[in-house]
Amino acid sequence: MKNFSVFIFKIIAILLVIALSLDFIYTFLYTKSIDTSKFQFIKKQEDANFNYIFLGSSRVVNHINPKIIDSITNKESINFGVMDAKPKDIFTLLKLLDYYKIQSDTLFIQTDYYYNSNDKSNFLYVDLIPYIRENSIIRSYFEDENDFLSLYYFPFYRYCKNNPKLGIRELLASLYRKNIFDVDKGYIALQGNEPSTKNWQRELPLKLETNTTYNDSIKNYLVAKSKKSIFFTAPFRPDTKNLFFISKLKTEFPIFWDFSKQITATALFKNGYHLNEEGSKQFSILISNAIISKK
Amino acid sequence: MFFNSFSFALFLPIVFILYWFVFNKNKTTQNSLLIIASYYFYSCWDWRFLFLLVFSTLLDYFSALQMENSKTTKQRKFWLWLTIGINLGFLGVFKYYDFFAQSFTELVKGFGFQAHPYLLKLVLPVGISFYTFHGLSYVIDIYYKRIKAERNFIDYSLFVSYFPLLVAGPIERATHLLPQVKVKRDFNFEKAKEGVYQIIWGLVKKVVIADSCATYANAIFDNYEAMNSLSLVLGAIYFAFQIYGDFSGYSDIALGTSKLFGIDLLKNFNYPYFSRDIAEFWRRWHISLSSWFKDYLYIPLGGSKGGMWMKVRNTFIIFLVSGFWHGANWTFIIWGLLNAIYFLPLLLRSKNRNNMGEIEVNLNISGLKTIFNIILTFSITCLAWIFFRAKSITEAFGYIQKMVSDLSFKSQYLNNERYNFELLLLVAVFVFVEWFTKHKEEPLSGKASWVKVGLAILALLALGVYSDYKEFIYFQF
Repeated sequence: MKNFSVFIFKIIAILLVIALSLDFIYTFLYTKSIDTSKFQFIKKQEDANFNYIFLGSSRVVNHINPKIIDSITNKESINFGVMDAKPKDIFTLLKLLDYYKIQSDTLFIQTDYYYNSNDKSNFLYVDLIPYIRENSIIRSYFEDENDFLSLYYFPFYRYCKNNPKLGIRELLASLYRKNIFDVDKGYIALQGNEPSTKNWQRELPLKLETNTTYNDSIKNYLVAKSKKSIFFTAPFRPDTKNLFFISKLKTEFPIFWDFSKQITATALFKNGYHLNEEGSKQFSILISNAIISKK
Repeated sequence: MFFNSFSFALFLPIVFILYWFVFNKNKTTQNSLLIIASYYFYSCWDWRFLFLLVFSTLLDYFSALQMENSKTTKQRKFWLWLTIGINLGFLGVFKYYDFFAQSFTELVKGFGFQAHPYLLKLVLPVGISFYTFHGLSYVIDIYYKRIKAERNFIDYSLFVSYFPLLVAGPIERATHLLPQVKVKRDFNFEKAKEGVYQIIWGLVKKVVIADSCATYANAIFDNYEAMNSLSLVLGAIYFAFQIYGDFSGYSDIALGTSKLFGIDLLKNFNYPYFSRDIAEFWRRWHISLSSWFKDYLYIPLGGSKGGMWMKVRNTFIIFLVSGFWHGANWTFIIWGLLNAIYFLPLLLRSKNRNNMGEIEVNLNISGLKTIFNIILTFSITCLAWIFFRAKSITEAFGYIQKMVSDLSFKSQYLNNERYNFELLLLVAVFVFVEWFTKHKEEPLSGKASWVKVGLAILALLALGVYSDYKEFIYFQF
């Protein structure tokens, strides 16, 4: 039995050494050599000053073209939207902007149906996982996960769990990939115009949830840090149901710009929630004009 | 509790320590602990089905004693058929009732009548097909006086419910397992070491090979109408490796786990994809089930004694029953039928026992012929697997029709966000490793074992699929 105990001990030691080595290699490559994610695009702007920073979900990523806004307003803007973002993600990004000393004159925060969510973005989750030990803001982002202790302490667990997005195939492929967000200051255009299928004829919620945690945290944080902020809602395709939800949303914010019905041509939409490239161009012009007129 | 779960990784060491350090006084204490552990293991799925397992154990135990105490053949026959009837009755109700009811409805509809069958929609108790066959082999052996009835209920209970084999086999024989549980086991370092190697290799097969193949096979089978010929061919190959990695991986973990407790289980797989004909494939694939059907169905039906017609009839019967054993769906029956058809030419030419020896490939004409035969056997096996994997016969035929008519062999991007050909390298490496270690139970032991263990752990961590948890396929049977 003694021999067997030694044998098992050696296997566990091999497992630990391999897991620690892999964790070190993956973390090093994902944080130092690879630059593909939206979070890395944001982090790269450390110590930078912008006139306008846009935060929000894919309805910022695919709708706000900073180059158009810059050309109309003669100011500098940047798109920090993150796919699938929710209030928790916005709150985390707000804190990270301060942590990385990224300044702005005005913060534009897109909000809509995700106001009701206490969840987090799958995209930001994956973007931040390699950085989990970098600072307390990122650490706290994961603290509500059931397996937080494993994510934080078990070497290589975080990469095993997320292997379709952060596995060996993704790691090797990412080494040769450039950050697509660099091209248009964080904006990604959507092409085409999908027909109004059932799948994309979406419904907004009927009511505002009052038990959400992070919306108040965002508002309090902005007040505490004396940040000038404007909340807004990007356009929805006109066939979206329960658009009256946006009028309820207005009451939650001191300054709220409602663009939800500003674009009506369905040809300008990729799908129910997202404008295509032409639509986003028009929306960027719309929001630029609003900035100029309401300055 | 799955063998590749965190809970099993806790359960196994606890049982191991209790077994060798606390309950090691005699075989009764050892067996008692293993029974408690086995019942706990089984109840982790659904504790209600534990009653079914205990009932089946009691039924077979008392029937065997009654059979042995019977003074007339008539009485023995009564107890045999009573036990078979009740055991198969449970299997029938849980697994096949809805299938028969629905098939009957379809048949009646075909004649223009309406029928509204009452469906039970029961959850299938995990492992029921395995432990039912396990118990049946015991009572049939008693009936034919091949063995004596076991009088020690603890020993018999362990024989039925031993957790490494409880939910997906191997389907053990009383002649093999009972003698081992009837003696006190002493710790054997070499055997335990073999067991650990086998567990690690089984995990590699399951988590690295089977689960990786599953993501590709699912993406292809679930969207076969949009796939080209190359994707469909690869889909069948990936499924072949998925089911092999899954089931043989499970068997390796079961055998390895059992070795930790000093008990050897029957070998269930012997590198089946290197078979040179379909008869050899069935001697190497799910060996414990194939031999069960041979001993308890084929031979009682007359085997090959009644001339060619009897041979053909009995072969078709065991393949059809084997297909049906796998699941209550026509796809499994067609899968069994296809295998019987593959078998037929060998049977008619009495060549079904041609390839009994070791597989050798030399650099000459004979070697090329062997390679050709291996590829041919693998190809027809893959074709049959399409029926096994498809949700319906229509889907299987649609898959095959598209595969042979599309004739486009371009790479395709699948909905698992991978190109169809990407996994081929991993599969090729796996085949390479298996080919060069096919004389052993697992490839990790022997020279440079620590390096090989390290590589296996590296593969498990870096290449394993953990995000989309997949249970073992054979648990559903």
